[in-house]
Amino acid sequence: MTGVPVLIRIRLGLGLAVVGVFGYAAWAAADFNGITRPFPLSVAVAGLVFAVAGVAVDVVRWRRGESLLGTALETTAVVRESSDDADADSGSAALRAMYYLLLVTAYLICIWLAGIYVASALLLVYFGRREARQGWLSTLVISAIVLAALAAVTQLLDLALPPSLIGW
Amino acid sequence: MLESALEAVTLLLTAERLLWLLLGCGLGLVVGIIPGLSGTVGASILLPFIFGMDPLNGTALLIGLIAVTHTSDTFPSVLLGVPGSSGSQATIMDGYPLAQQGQAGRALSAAFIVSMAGGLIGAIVLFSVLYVARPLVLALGSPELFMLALLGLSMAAVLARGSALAGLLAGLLGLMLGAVGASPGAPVYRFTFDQLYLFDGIPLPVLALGLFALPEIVDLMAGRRRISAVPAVHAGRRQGLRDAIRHRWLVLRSAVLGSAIGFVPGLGGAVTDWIAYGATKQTSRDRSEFGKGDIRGVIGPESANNAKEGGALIPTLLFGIPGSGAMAILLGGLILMGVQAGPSMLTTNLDVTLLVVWTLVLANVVATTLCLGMSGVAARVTRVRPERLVPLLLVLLVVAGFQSSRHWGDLVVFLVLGILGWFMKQSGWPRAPLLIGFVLSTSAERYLHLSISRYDMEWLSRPIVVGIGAVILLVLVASMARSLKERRGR
Repeated sequence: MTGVPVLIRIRLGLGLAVVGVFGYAAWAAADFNGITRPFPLSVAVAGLVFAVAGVAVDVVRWRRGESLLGTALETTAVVRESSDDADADSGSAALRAMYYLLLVTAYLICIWLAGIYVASALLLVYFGRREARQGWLSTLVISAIVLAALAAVTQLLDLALPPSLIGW
Repeated sequence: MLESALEAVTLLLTAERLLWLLLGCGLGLVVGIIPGLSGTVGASILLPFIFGMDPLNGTALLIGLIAVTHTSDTFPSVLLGVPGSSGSQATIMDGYPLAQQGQAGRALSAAFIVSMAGGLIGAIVLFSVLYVARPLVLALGSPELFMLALLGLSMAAVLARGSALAGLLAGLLGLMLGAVGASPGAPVYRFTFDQLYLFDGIPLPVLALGLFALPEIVDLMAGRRRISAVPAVHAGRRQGLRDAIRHRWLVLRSAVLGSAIGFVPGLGGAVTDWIAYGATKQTSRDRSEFGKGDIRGVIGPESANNAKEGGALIPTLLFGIPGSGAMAILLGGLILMGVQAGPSMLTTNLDVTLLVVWTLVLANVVATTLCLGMSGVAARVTRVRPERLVPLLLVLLVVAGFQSSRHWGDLVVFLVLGILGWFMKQSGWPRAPLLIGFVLSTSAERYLHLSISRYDMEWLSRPIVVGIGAVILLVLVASMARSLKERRGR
């Protein structure tokens, strides 16, 4: 895949993943009984056929140098935005996005371990200090306000908060 | 009838009832603004307090909340690209791009004004068809309902914009995700990987938040840009009013369409705005700006989603058939207050029915006034730096996402679908068709089972089925032709 632009790699990778999903679904749906089978099986088989066709069409179009993306591509898609300049830019944009996806994952793990209040406090302090480059005082004040608002809304609307290992 | 309607106004215009109505409206505003919380959640919060209440007060409270949710849910959809509720998903398509162009005030005010107009038209529809609705509802059997679900699904092709195959695939993926969990036809659990959480299927709010909100947040940070690159236009509110007046026929068309869809029980309220969006796009001459910030893309769905409530109240009140989750809660609330939905709503409980109509009217006016007042300040959110906005949004999304089933699975699915949504966004796969497929999956499968088991294959020759089938074909052929034309043009 060296030499293939990041955007095309993402598109083809997604296409192949969808082929896998529909393939698995068709295989699993074949085992369902009676009236529970026709709907998922027909959707999965149709999806598999279209997904394989989609990947094949994408590969052919890319080799011909045609656009794969249609006009559905959103202007705020960060990899697309960068790919107008250079592939290296779109690669680094993709890496930055991966970093933030990992950060969200870490936030969820932290909620699971220590509870939403602790995890949110850490998230707010991290963003305030490292990303927004705010001073300690404003970071702590904003964090306290957000956590207080969270507690108030939770009480008022009787919202549930995710349970954690520690139980906070 | 007119005399009874005027009597109902006097019933509503008492200090006590107005207070309950305002309380419902206030709660509806809050619930609508918080992403992922729908009118269903809001109404279910109120349900324990409804027990034993005076039916007229309780109705004012519940209808106030339900009617207002679809007005205030426009804030997150336009300002943040996050669906405020299932009824405002399509608003993102053009509302968010408008906010990015610094026209958040315009998009919001247009949305609020047409929401009010839609709500009022919905109330008029409810009032007008109270006595003639019965034969219409009874004319729709499972085959017609299945075809209506397919009509909704055909909007996937309309929304694909030059990438029809990707749109179709996304729609099929949505149908597949909708098949996760219990089968609607038999007690069999599918694609659950033995996870108890998946037995009830993937919750719609979690799917919508993951698919639309998380990718947007990640791109905001990775792109290191504010939602809007230009300062918010303060004069936008007047422009929004002018837009609403200029597109008055679109407002009327979409509102009537919304009422008609709401009137069909079981089709699902979440699909109304998508159908309205698809219809708006399909009936517009110049479609080049749709998805890039066309105000008609906001006006169409916003007119429809408030009007839908008027339509949905018809089967709910007259036959006890709830058209949506919120209507099911309302039905439960009425029972708790000692009011049995059914034909009695036109005789002994006519006062409650007419109070519902007037409450719908007043709640929409109150909501629009409040939201318009807030829109100028709210539009400034688009200029907040992403590193300040993103952590707040993340906390909000996690809490909102967790309310669906109050299970850790909500957050895991939110993350997984968020990653899928991000990849779809980057690689030009339209996400809206996936949502439509998901929303329609269960009802399509259920009605297909019922149609085949009751009519074998004869249901295919029923006149309404043939008619809807012809419309679907027309939509698909027109979309494919346009898709091909766009591709050749490029």
